[in-house]
Amino acid sequence: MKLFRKLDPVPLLCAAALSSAGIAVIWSATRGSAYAGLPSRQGYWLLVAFAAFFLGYFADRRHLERGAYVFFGGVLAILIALLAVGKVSAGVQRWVHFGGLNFQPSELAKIALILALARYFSRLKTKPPYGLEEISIPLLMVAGLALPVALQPDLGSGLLLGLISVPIFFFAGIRRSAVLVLGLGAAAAAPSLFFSLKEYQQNRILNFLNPERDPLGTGYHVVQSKIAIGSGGMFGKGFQQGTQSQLRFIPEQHTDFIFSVLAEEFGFVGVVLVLGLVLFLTLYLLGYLEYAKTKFAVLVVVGLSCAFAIQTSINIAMAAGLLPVVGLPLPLMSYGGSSLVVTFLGFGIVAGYRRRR
Amino acid sequence: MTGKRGHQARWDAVVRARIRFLGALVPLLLLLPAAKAFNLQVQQQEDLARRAERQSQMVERVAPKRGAIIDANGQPLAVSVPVPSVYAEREKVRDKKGAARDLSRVLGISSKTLYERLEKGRGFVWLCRMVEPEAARKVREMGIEGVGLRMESRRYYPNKELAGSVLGFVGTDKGLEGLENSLEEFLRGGDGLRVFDLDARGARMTPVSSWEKAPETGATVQLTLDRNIQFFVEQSLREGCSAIGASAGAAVILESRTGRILAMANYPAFNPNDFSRFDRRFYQNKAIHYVYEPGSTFKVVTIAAALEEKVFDDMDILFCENGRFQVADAHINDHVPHGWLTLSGIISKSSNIGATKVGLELGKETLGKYTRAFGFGRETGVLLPGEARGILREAKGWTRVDLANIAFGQGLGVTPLQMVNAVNTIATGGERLRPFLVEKIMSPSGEVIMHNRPTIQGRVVSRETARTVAKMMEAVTRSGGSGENAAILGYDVAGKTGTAQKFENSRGQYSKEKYIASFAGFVPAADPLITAIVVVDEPRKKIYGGTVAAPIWKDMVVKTLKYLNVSPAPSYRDKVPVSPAAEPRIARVDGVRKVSVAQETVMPDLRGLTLREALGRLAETDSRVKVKGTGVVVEQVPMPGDGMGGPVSLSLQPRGES
Repeated sequence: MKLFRKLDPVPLLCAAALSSAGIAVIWSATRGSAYAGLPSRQGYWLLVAFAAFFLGYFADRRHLERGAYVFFGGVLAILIALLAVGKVSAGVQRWVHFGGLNFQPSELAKIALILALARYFSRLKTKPPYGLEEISIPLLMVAGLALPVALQPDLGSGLLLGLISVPIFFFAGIRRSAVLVLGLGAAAAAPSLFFSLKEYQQNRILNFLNPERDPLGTGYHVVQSKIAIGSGGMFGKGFQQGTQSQLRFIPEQHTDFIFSVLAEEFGFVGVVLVLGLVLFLTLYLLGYLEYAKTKFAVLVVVGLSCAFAIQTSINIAMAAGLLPVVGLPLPLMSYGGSSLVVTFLGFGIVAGYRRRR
Repeated sequence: MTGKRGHQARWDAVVRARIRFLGALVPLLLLLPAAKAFNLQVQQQEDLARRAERQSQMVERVAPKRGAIIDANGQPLAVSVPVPSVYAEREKVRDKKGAARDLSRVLGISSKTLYERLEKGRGFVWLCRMVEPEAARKVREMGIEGVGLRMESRRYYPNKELAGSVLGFVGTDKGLEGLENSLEEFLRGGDGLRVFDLDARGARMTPVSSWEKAPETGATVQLTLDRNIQFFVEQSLREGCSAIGASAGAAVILESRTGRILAMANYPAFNPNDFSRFDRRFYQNKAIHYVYEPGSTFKVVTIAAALEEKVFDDMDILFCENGRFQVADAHINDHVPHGWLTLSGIISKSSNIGATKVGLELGKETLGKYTRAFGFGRETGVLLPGEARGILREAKGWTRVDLANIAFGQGLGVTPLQMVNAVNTIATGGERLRPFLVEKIMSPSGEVIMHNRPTIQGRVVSRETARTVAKMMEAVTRSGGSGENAAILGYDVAGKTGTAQKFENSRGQYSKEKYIASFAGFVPAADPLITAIVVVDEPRKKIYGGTVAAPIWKDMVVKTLKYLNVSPAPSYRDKVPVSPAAEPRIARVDGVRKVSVAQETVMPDLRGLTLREALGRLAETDSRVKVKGTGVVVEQVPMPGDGMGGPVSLSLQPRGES
């Protein structure tokens, strides 16, 4: 028990609070449906997630740094293997089956990427800011993970991998000229990227530009989600009282659109409470930079903390119609064991730096 | 080492600056979605909440039970009975092809049609409405998921064709003809509203509340019609018309003093239970729709006007030109030549020339005024749908020939109801009443919503004139009068025959073969209880009102008088054997005297009888009788129709004095 004496309970408590709220909302969203067994399964996943937290918390920092590339390579291999032989699940190859459990390696890819990038930048001999030449390898790392994920096809997770690496690049330091070249390159690639997307993915982007384009067809998700959120009003309709969610107007309401249910039943007040807690947790984790004495440690803490805030923001922005809808879970709250476990693992890794002080 | 330390220090400074930057950026990152949530949940809340409400609920209308139509005695004429209908909730039917095939065998609808109903659209749909109990049982036994039975109410007319064209009928959802149509707002009742939650696929969930608004049963409508009288009238009309080979006929009986319509019959009749099997023209209620030239029955109006205006009096005689008379370029003929006739003679012999001379003397303005006052050229206000107004041109535009024609009932169009109401104006003593068919309307809880009262629409002629015309009309049914076939032994009948050639629009002239025979009159002549009319369209074997319509009129009126237990006129009382009522009679509405002759439990009308006759009538009752004066009875206590038990006192005066 000595091991736990120095444990800072705040991140764990915050994460547990958000996850518990998530289970309650999942319960409301799946009540009386074929998914009614999911809340208790998410409860079991939460126990696994606690274990993952302590795995990260107690992990040896040197092993973490040295094993980063090996981990990266392993995840990359799994992703490529999935593309080749992965089981088709709803037209999407995202799952690895072991035992009775399904696991999404794309979730693990987030941690693998953050660790690998942190390791790369921490070992660079030259001084920041870095030019294109120096960042070409980390860019290839990002693309190397993001591409197989996007091809599963899980466009959301693929783009997310790109986004969560931005704070690491920023913290490592990059030349403005390099940023400019990257931005122009991205803008030039965008149209060809758009037409390489599958039709439903193209539709999502068009619907984002004009959500009422086809309210009963492909634009349905966003319109229904906005109706659910908006009709919740200031104080919400009450737990399990959301008409839109209880009557299953919202698609994927226990996973990607869990926020709509939360907003409908608990109102703007509930939304502010949840977002406040997310903000508090993110800033609290960034506060651990105080204990991060190596460059690797700094980049890992920044990368993991920001990834949490970024994914939260993007998920809610999609549910509220601010961004085109690409499948992405709300960290800690959406149903899904992989996401929950990996998020806790990340928090554990961050919290572990305080233990090492 | 300083270099390395300096580098470390710079890196720390850079890190701190970037941490501050992140510390500002992360809140911004989370503020953005929060702001959007605020926009949706606070600023757009009302609009989005309304959209949520609209798409997640469905209001279902549930038809109420239609109110009943009953006759004057409370007997049912139209009732609603619950009948099962088959519906489907389309999302819940798994095997639509199979369900359509199985149901098709039971419901008698092609499986293709059923499949289409199941396949197109979402949610609730009727598959087959109003099915037989046997078919409903089979559907229930099939137990197809998503297919169910719901009770709906179906209109049923227990007396079949009785009063069919008056009642009309109900389509699937509303009254289409007759009273069912005109009284729709009362009979229909209030729709029930039930609210269902819908899920995103449009499938029903359990009702939010069992009833948002419970269905309200429609009001009960009580008619003035008496089912028994209606039956007699329809029977007489049917037998009479079919014996003569007539194409159509109509008859109406009014309660003289009130204008209540006791019977309104049509030939041929139709059965509203099977309305779809009859041609549209059978639906027509000829008593109010059929516009015909009244012919001689209209002479009553001409003569009454002349008497009222004192153009002639009942002692004047007119020369009837021996059957042939020229007005302008037109010839007026009597079918039997007459010489000199009194006004009474013009009525009883039905002289067109006599009526023409009276009309010409009156002038078009005056005759036009009286024609209108007697109720022609306008609706009677009986509250049946599509009542015809008849055809009556402005008197100012009449030519001399028009005036001559109208004086004996040609050149204007009337409905049977207008005509009988005009004759009833004589029966009432000169006041025109509004004929009515609806006695009262009662809510399901028994509260009276509407109660029709007899309505006087104006005095048309004086009591004196009316009495004089009534006397002349009595002569019609006496021996030698044109309507002697309408004479009823035991009662004085006042009436008027009518025979009109039909105008053939296609040829622009009056037909030589097609006639309309009618008879209108009231009984008893001196103190009328009922006023009735029979109109027969295109009789074949005979053509005259006196030979075609009068016997039918007599037949139905005799049955009605018997049914109403009307005592014979005083002058006939000892001579006419009155058969005692075989069964207890239901007391009729006020205005008709209910006198049980056989048992004398109520005081009979002894006025006008001699003392011997009066005592004879009272013999069976074992009453003590006080007598004052001699001659005939002029006053009596108790009054006619009152209960007996106490002493009876009679005052007598010599006949002829008053």
